[in-house]
Amino acid sequence: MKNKINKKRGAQRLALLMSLLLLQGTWAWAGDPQSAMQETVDRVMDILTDPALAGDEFWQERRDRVAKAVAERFDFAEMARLSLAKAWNERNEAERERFVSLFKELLKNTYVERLKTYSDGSYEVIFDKVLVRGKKALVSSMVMQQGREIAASYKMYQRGNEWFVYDVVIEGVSLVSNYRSQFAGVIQQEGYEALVRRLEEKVSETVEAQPDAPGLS
Amino acid sequence: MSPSLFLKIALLTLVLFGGPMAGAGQAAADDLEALLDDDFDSTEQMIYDPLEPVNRAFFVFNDRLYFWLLKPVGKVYSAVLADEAVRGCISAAFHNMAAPVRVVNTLLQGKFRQSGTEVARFAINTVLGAGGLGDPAAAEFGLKKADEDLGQTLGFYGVGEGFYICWPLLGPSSARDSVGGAGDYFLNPRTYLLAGDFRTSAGLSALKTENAVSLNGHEYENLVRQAFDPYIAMRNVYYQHRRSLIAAAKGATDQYGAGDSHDQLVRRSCLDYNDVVSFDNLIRARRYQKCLEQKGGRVSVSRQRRQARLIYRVLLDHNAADLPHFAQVTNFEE
Repeated sequence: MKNKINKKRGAQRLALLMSLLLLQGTWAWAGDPQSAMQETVDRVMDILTDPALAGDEFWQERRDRVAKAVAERFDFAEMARLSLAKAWNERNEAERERFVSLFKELLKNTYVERLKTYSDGSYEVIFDKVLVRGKKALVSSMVMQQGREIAASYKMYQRGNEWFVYDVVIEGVSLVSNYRSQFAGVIQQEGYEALVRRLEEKVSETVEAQPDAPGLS
Repeated sequence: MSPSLFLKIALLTLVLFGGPMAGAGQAAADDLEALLDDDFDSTEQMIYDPLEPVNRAFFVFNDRLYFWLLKPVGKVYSAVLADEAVRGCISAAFHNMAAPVRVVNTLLQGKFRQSGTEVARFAINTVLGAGGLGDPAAAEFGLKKADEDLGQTLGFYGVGEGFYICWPLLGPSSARDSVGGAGDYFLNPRTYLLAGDFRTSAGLSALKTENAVSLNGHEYENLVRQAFDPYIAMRNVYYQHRRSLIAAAKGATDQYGAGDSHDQLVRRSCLDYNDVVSFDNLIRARRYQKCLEQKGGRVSVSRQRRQARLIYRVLLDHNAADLPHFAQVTNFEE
């Protein structure tokens, strides 16, 4: 009798373990957002500190490679859409495409350029926390540079079996939210066309600020 | 959940997301509709700014002040004190001197451990760090620097921002944070040490400002240069940052509340242990919750909490793959 109960328990335990293993297998297949983000950050760090590309004369090359690595993880189109928020729904397909390409260019020019100061490798990135809820995740990291700590979080979503960034939060300040408030202000005051004009100006401004930059392509 | 049901779900997921690109894109797009009202985003509330015209005028005034006076002076200052580390030390000394502000505010928020940290930091950095010029408390003792002020304390107790104010010279603030700032002024020892000496006091304030400009001025310039409307950009940055500080302060103490669902509890305990939480862990916690539900009301709330905490310790101490151990701890067989 006792033996029978033990057998039953054993079978239960086996079923439980199998279902848990199966469960784990399913989620492993989906990939996890933290390693995805870490991989991108590592790649960017490697490019920036690559001894073969050191020096200002190779900055152009490094910048293009970084931009490429970042573009694979960041969904700029989604960021553009979220930044435009309500106004996005009122735009037609061509307008949306134009806006996304301008927004992409703007982020590339402003933020990749700022990474230049990180080329000396005097910083460290530590991923400390990740929260996953369904198909969305919040990946937190700490950037340490010269005794200063800057909290940088990435909001990500899952598409297929890949994770993409749709917002960056630095010290509690969300990039998308900040752009959203500004875009809404400009649209309310001057209209959507004015916003596009201002975007075009900004993009050409940032390019002019870097005389060695290629065109707007 | 039976394994067969799982297989079905797995297959369904495959069909939905592993299919042709067009299908995957469509499914993802539908899901992304939900991103606007984002789970993690609590800063999209309205900002009340009835004084906008006046605020804008002061913003322009501050901006001119920065580019015409503070920045040129800052250049000279940086040239004299070329070593950024030295300027960092000056900034640290000002921070150290204001320790009473942080001690009082952590006490007011009931964060006694943090108050202790602030007292210890002040003692260590004043004695071993040459009056606060260095930060051995962080470097040698692992006591990290933090920022606390009365505005945060008021926010911690649910006081809203009120309206936005851009003060001349002082910059962005809110009605609440301005009241807090006035209170903090009286908590700062500088106020009393230099009570009768206006010139020294003003000189110190100027030094503090110039030092901050030399260290962080480029951040302000970047913000202004990149902005489409620098005024809105600055206002948004200020509110987002303040709200995140207050949210963090609330999250740190508001734990294991009585009315919490198991889900919240689990999330809090994850945050508490400052550990990496994978989806697998959450799934397991859900299974555990199911198990508890099946038992009906026979398990007390405090026991559930204990279990939730225990489960995480075990999961994190032992590798998450250590399943038999996990099953044992969660009392699946009880």
